[in-house]
Amino acid sequence: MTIQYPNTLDYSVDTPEQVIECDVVIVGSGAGGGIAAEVLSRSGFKVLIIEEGPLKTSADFKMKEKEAYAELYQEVTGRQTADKSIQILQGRAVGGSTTVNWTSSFRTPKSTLEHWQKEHAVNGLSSTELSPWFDWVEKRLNISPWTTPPNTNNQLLADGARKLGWKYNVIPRNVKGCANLGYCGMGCPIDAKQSMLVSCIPTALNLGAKLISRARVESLVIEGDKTVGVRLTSMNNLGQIKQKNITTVKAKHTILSAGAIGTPAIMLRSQLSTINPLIGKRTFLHPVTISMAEMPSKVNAFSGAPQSIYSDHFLWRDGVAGELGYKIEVPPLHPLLVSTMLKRHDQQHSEQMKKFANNQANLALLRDGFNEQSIGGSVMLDEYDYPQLNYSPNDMLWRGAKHAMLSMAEMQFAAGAKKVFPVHMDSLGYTSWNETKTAINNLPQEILRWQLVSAHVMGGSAMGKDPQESVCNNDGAFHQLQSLSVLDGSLFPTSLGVNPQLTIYAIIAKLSIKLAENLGGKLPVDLAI
Amino acid sequence: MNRRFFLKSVIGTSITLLGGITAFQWYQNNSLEYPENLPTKFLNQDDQLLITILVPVMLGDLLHTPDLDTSIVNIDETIIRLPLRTQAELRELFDLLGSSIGRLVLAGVWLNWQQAGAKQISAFLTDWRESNLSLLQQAYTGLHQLMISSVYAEPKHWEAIGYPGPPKLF
Repeated sequence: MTIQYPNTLDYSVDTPEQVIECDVVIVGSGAGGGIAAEVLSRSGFKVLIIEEGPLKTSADFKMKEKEAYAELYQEVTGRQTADKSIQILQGRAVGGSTTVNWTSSFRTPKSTLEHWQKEHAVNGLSSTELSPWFDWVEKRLNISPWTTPPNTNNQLLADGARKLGWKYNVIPRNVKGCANLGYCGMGCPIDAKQSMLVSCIPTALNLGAKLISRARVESLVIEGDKTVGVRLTSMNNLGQIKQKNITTVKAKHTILSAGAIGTPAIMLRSQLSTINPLIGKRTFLHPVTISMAEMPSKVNAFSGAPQSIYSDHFLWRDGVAGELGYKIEVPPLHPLLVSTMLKRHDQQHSEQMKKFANNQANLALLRDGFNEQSIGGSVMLDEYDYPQLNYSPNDMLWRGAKHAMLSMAEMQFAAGAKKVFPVHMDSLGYTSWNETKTAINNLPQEILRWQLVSAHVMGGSAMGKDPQESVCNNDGAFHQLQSLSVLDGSLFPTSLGVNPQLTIYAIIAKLSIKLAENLGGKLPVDLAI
Repeated sequence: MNRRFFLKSVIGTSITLLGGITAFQWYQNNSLEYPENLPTKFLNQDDQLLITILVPVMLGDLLHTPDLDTSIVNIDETIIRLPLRTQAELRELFDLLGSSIGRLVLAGVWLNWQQAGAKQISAFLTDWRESNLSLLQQAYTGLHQLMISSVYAEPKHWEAIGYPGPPKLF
């Protein structure tokens, strides 16, 4: 059955209305905004969703990197931190990053939630309190551990871990009728991935919510100590500004769900940092370091569910607040992304590309933000009022990256690799574990040369009890203004240690219901938890 | 020192190392003829020329010759989707390169650059890659990202690396 998307308007095409009124305006349609849109629509509110990216659906998804990266990602996948040290893969389309993520769905680790409670005065989000919300989301988005055998790329992670006696396990995925294609990152062409694009967003739209795509929120409209709506700028089909402040939205309540770069950017453009200087501070990335390996036979890491096996063997290697721990997973390998990851040229590049199909890759995402040395980054505005993230890798991060690189390489040799290539501009291929160990220990720990990426942007509008220590309270309400909430991953006071989508879904479901209740809504029975 | 001046002087040094002094003299004494250019939105004639020179060297030994017009269009289509800040940085980089290397080549310094010239260009790229100056490293990675992706985005280069392309659905 084809999914229906009624009540949508594309600002790159249509002439917009000048003033729109609604009960609740939700800025962003990703993991946070999608859940909030469903909950508030089902609670009887007149909802308007604003999305800066385009509305693209499965009929548009052709599994081609060139088109997908241009249409569905921030900055054609080339978003990066200010010093260009970390490349950030982030969605920009209806459904946000859930439209292009690799479907990994983990519950928040108990240790992370305990740390938030203990160190960041977060209340109401213990594992026990979140458990019914995880149950609800897992049912809603059909999340369960992947039962199909892993593809070779993932199997080799399992093989390496097993040989070394390290823990590994199967990844739960949000899919229904998945055909094991391997193209989740380019938008699911068969609507199997239960992203916000095929679940909560259409549910909200079919209940009467409206969605404007290709519109960016320029700033909040504030009267006294109350937020009364937002100003919209229309975007063209290249994602560039068409006309600034073309529309005013009047709303009884405003929800920012624009992600951990977009949400602080809106608050900064609204000059809110004068009343809360912590806006955009402590932004976390789960910085990722990667190790490639040449296997004796074909891996075809572009085919099959991209992520199905993980290892948490080193996630808490030095306790919660010690040296940075990391989660090991694999990335899918498609030609365009792999070719740009190999930062060399001429024959050195082409020779390595010839081995493309034999490549296996492990990635380690580093759990940043859990101690005083891991302070994350900060979102600023550039001269065009466009957000930019400052995030400087420090010694603690480099130590973590090196430890992770060593572990991943060791796993690859244990799994039978002929050659291992740490993804670093100064690394050559190495044929033995001993040689690799020495090489990794000597790789310069320098930005650009040690290639870091991120697919998880979190924090920057941290929640907590104390207005001096946080941006929002434990309900996600902005401390210093009425009628303004943040409902997305920017609420997190640290990173998570797991891929963030399920954490965002569950926490935002819980906070959205609370908001619906406070606004006098009629709660849906299944959500009256 | 402002960033633009700094970058210019650094590039100037690189050119000198390549024997750029005589090249410039040669260039000054000759009128330039540009190849036919494509209707791009960001890239100008100089940029297009630069791309046709750099892409084959960046990519190395490919089974199929890259279609340079496609690369130019792909790069242009990418850049016009980038934030204005990034576009401004790239404009600066292309302008500086265009006024140095591209014109040296166009002026006939490397008449057979596909052979002898390619080696020099490759060495030049290596210099940038290995430079201690982060600006030059950034220029390298920026150009690398645009040029490499403009080629491997295209199906004709997939078979040679063992990538069958997306599965047929129905």
